[in-house]
Amino acid sequence: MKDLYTKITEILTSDADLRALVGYRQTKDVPIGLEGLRAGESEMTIRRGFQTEGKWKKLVSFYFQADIVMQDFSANIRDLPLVIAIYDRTSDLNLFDISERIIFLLDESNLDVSNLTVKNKVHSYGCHYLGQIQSPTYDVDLKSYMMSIRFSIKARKEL
Amino acid sequence: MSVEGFDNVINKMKLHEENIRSAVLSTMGAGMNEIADRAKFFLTENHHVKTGNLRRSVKGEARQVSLTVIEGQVGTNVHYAPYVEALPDGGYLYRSVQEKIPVVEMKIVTKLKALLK
Repeated sequence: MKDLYTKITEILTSDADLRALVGYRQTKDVPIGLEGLRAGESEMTIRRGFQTEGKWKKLVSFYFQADIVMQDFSANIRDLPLVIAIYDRTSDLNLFDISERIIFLLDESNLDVSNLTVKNKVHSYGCHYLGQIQSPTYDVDLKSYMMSIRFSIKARKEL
Repeated sequence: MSVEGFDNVINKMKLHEENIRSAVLSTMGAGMNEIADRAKFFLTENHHVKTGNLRRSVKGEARQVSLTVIEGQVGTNVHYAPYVEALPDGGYLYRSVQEKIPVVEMKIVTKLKALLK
């Protein structure tokens, strides 16, 4: 799971177009976790986990939901639902541009991370876009337009 | 190359056309209710039930769209349902559909096999 997060972060943050679309300007290394978030929260607009605090205008946050065992095939292969929540405080139309870019980057992308670590190898067999969970709507609590999209990742952990 | 006995299957299916349709429809309906029940279970398990409004509203149904298409639906009409579905510990509908669809498919196949015996 950790390796998959690393790979997805790498894909999303290494794309110049997506960085420009969400105003991701973070260049310095900051500590991991809450401390890191506080150190550069306004620049860190592509975030792992459901973290919406801070002063941002646009935000992409991605996280996995609980994995699902594929009972009819093998218990080792799991379906990992990846949810990407996109926020924009200025316009709801930007949400479509950002989501289209993310779909372009992640749909059918190679997330195989078996070469990253020696132990706990995770093989990914595909990342597919499943559709919108929420069409663009206004989040009153966060005072921002938002939408969520979902991907499905089929992965196997080598035991 | 020729296939023997295929005409018999087609004739049998034509004979039982209406029976097959109603059997699939009822099995599908029961399957959709099973998925809805599973979704309610996940809502409760993940502590997403406060008033019970969302839990009560999750429903499943099957309907005949055309002569050859039977459609199953599970869902809710509560406006905040997508928020709960998108939460990190959400995914109650997706999870229940992914878990139960193979079971529903198997039930439909078993029913069809019994009818075409």
